[in-house]
Amino acid sequence: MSNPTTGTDRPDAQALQEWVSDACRGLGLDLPDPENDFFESGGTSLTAIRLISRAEEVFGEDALPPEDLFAHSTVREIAAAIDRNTRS
Amino acid sequence: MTGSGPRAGVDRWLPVLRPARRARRLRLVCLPYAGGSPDLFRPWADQLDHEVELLALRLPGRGVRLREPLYDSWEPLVEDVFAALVEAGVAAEPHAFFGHSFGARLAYELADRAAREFPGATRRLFVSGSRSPEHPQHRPLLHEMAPDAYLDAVRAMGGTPAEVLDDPAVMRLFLPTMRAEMRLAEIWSRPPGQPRLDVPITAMYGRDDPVDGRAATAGWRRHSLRPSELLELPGGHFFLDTHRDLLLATINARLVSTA
Repeated sequence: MSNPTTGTDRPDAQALQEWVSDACRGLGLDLPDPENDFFESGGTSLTAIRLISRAEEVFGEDALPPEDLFAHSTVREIAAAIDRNTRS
Repeated sequence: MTGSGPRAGVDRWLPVLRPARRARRLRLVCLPYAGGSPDLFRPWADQLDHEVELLALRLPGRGVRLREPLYDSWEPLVEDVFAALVEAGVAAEPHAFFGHSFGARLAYELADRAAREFPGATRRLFVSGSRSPEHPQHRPLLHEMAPDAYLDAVRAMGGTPAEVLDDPAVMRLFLPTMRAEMRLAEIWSRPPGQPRLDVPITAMYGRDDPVDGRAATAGWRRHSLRPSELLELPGGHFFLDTHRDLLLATINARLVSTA
């Protein structure tokens, strides 16, 4: 897995994955590993909405569109979606 | 339950939510209500009998299958789900079905199909929160309502958190799937005089369910050649979410006696 970031100020892939893991922990979900899946780990549509708004607070509007999260939901995939959607 | 890794076709249709911990006695295949995902049944993993493997169906329109075309008629739906059960090695081996609402109708169709192709493999059919095949569908039909009225009706049914209903971006994803499957549930009918299934049926309804309560579900017992039962549980249409402990105890007791 190559580092998907390009700009100098951007958090790298690993940092984004750690942010996702931390945000999930804040929602009461334990996803320590990049391959852990949000919905397999107890995530629901309700906690998904909360993760989406948390991502928007931190990374800006549409940082994590629901269609990305609901279709691709490992920590690695969520971090990659945030990276993709916040790249200017 | 570890990470996902590459997902095979079988995983896409029928994820295993929890393997049996000791020797597997049978598999329980769970079929969600309209718009529901297999993840609804993940909380069952802790309480379900340890010798039972827990699987759930993932239809198009949710999760990794979000962008796949939705089913708009019963025949291909039953055909494809049954083929997935065969491919997963589930249909030919001892199994039971649990379906709720739309999922209960689908469970009946699958049990009927399995009874013909793999007689004896289906050990029990749990139909929960669903009218029996000959009982008329409650009116007005939700799937024919205008979008706003439909959303109000879904809200009134319960089962979907208000925070989800109030999120337009999320509802835009969920509504087409929910509506397509509610339509299938509403148009579902079987001509009278169906042969009885050689499978014991446990039918369940929520005491306060205004639609699929006692009157709508009482007919299920007439669809089996085997001793069958009708059980009332506390709660409304979504008693499977609100009274999970009691439901699981009920299911476990029947699966243990269904060796």
